[in-house]
Amino acid sequence: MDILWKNLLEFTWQDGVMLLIGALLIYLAIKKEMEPTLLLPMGFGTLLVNIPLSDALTGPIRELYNAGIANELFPLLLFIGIGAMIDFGPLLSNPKLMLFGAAAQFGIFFTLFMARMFFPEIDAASIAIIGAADGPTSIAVANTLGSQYVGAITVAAYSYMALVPIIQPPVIKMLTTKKERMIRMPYEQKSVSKLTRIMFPIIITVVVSAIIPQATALIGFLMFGNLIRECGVLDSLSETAQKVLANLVTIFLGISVAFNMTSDKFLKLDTLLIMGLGLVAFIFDTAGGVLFAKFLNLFMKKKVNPMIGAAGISAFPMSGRIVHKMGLQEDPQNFLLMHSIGVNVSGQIASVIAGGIILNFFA
Amino acid sequence: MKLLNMFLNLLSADSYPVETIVEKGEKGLQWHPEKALDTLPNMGKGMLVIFVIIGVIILATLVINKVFSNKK
Repeated sequence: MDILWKNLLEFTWQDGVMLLIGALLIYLAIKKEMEPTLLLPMGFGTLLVNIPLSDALTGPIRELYNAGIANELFPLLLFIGIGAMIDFGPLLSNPKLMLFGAAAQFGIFFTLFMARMFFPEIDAASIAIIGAADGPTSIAVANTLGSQYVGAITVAAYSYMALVPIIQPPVIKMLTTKKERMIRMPYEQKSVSKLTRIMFPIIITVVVSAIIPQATALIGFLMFGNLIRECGVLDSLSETAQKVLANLVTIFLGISVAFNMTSDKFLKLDTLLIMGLGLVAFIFDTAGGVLFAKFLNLFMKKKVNPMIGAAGISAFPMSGRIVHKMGLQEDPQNFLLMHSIGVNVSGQIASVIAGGIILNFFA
Repeated sequence: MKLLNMFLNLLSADSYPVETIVEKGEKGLQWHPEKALDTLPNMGKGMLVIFVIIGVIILATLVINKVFSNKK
């Protein structure tokens, strides 16, 4: 009978809390459909690693972590899939939209400022990158910097990405007037040649890598995925990257991130602070984009709807859709989708650049 | 400041006092608002570099749009 009790007696209240957190992640994934592809494997992984004397923690999950996260492989592979999913068409037809993607990275640096009050430099920089609103970038940067908070940072990044529809609208409304939100932006469809679409990922890779070599892997894998999509001769690879590869890597990524979700690493005041700082990052990203658009409007004859600045946060495509929806709420004839999606994909590029800059500063 | 450090020590799950961790240069929670100011140059440089790179990308995109545009 001893065998029945021996392991049960190893349970601590901290293990119990972690099991509840794992269950909560699974609940949010299934019931609320919050980033289910990642939160569900993470939640289940959390259960696996918090059972006392679990052989999953010391065996397969540790091996997966070392094989795919410790060396950044999984986030980079996932970037191939994301690159293959992104259509840069709206951005290529109006490249100036990229400025909003740059402005909306402000939250990263503001959060660095805030986090530094509480955390050592390396951890503060890793926490700040939650503001990239981009899971793979957050994981890759936090991991390269050797932060002890990779688990908490990943949870914060993906949770807030899922909560973008709740976080962004009040911030946008607070910073804009009804009149500004009603500004119409007619979309002039410009054709983008196939050659332009092929050249774009190549040029971006060369330009960004030449200036920030630390971002080469991140931007390179993202753009490689996009080149597969746009080249026109690798349709089956493009489809595989978008579906099979992205799904497969997400499963492994989610379950192996749980390696850092043990009670000794997660149940700290630090984690609560990281969640709070993550929220700060998303709020100030949104504010950065909106305020930059308002600033530009001071000088522009043809005004832009400042809401599209908020889409510069790289939570793709949620952020672009939210801005479009908010535009329609103010004026049912105001279609901002093409502009907001253009800004949104530029946020994807800018967030990778920001990740490279953070690595350049602190790695 | 001391009071806050004591409070953080109390709440932190680390078994080491916060001050000890900071002094030893190890990882962990701390309270040093003055260190936030050190990040201001990073904030300025970071945003500037992003805008410069994005500016270069915009220019490059305008050029490739022009060079490789669909000729009628």
